[in-house]
Amino acid sequence: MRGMATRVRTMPALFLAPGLVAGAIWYASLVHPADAYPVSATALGTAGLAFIVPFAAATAAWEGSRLRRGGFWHGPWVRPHAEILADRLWPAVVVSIVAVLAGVEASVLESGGGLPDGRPIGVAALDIVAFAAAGAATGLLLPFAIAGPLAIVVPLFWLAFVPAMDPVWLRHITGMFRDCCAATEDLSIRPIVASSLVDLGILAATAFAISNVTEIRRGIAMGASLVVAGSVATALVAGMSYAPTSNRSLADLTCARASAATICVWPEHQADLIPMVRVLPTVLARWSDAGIPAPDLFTEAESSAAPAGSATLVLSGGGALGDDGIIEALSSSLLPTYPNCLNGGSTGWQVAEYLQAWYEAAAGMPDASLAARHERPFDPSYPPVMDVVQKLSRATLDSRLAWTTRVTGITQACGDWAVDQLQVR
Amino acid sequence: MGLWWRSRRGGLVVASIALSGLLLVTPLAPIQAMPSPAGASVALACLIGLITPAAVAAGCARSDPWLESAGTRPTRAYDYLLLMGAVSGVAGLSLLEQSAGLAAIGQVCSRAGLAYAGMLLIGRSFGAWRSAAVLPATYLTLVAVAGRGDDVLHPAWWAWIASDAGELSSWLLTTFCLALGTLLYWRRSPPLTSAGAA
Repeated sequence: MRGMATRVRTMPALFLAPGLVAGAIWYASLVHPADAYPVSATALGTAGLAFIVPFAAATAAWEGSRLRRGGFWHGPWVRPHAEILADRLWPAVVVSIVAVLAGVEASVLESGGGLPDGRPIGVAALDIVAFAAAGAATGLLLPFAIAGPLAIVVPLFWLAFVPAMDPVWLRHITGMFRDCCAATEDLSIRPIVASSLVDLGILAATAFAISNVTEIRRGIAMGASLVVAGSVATALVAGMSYAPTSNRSLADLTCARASAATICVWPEHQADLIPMVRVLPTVLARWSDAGIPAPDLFTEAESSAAPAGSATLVLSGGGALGDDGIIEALSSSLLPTYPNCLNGGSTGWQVAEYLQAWYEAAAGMPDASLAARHERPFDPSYPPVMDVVQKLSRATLDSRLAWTTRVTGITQACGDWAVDQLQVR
Repeated sequence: MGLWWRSRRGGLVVASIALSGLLLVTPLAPIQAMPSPAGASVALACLIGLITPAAVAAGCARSDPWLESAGTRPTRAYDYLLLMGAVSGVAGLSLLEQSAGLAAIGQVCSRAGLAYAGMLLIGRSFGAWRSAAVLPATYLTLVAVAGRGDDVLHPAWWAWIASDAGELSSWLLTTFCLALGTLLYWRRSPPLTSAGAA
């Protein structure tokens, strides 16, 4: 215990640990993970790496510089160098990993619970080990006056500035996964492997840097480790978007049959499934009466992964939707996807609200709820949404079908369209 | 003077000024990063501004405070002038590059370098040259992680190195930081321990 007390007194990693852990928890309270999706919450929880890794590297550099200044590193010791270094480094590594875990737990708790995902935590831990080792090597090789600021600034550059650079996929080799994941997405294996490879490359380069081989061989080996690891890693993630994600496995969906249709939701929205199964048959019957065609599958799966002809649900609220919320989600799932317009962007999405309001009204949403949701149109020059809905309610079936076809067509517009096409004829 | 210059690795300090000037004209220098939802948007030029103060600190950390305190030469004043001269050199070079259209944010780098010099002097007053550069490096990390003010465009008052270069208050705070550092450097006796050595 006496040895431990001395360590706490003399090692910055240990006596600064409470501040770091408190900082990690504070930082996690700033990010707001959606629903109770543990993968997303865990990835957001590890975003504190931007200051935790510099801490690990700087405190490790301090320990390395103590070995250097005391002349211990090159002493005739029986213990191998790796063991001596590990003995000095474990506090920096353990404290930093504890800080990451504290941030992750805070994020997961805020998101609504569940077990943290091991993959982002594993990569974060490898990041910490790699930069702590690199920091220690810097402290062993350079005076602390240079090693200290270097050990703080280089990880900060790696975890804050590289993710801000083009191409956007470059961020996926850093281990910073804060852009993961929407409910329909999972953490892709490619960024995990790429980041781990780079960390292993840093570890190998560090081992060569403090080895006893000649300077030329050392330089070549260090360069080769970093270049090979970096090249393979960038090849793995090249072409990805800014998010380190892939489609979530459809096997995660929980499905239930409701009348003529099936509803599939992600586990974190399972609380909404029973009320949806109760409401959907009524909604389907009313839509059928109003001439609104409905699919036989409503699913939360990403539209590109879902079976053709299915409606894409977007749920949030974790079981607190209520009947009106369910009708809103079901109506929204019937809306078409918007085109990817090359020049000027899509303009048709501005009328989607009219379609949604009509689907909601036809499904039986009370007027008060409708009015609250569609108080004013996107543009004041457009007709009031409720006026259009009321006219549709009184219109003939043919007139409704013609309006729905016309307005659905407008949603695909990339340019100008006539406002009078919104009127019910 | 020649021995002092060699002991402070004056050549390395000059090289650090040249390196800062070189990095500032690369297209990477204006990149802004905001790693935290509570952080200020920090330009890479703010990192570049740390190179020269750190090099001066590394040079001065090679001193022997015991020996130099007994010497007749004003090495303390030399060290101060070396720091001021070096950061002024970076400031001048970066402003020159900006006015010549070579560097986009030379002013940001100059302001950061001057602020770091002040912090370096503050750090030196409470500890050793060896660990003095940790203070500006930690400050930079704190700005990036927790320096946001009212919105993305406006950092908190204490994160002034992330402000727009035209903001007068940021230059006033930089001057204040430098003045405080100078005052503490001259008013507080440096700790005469072996910790002063590299």
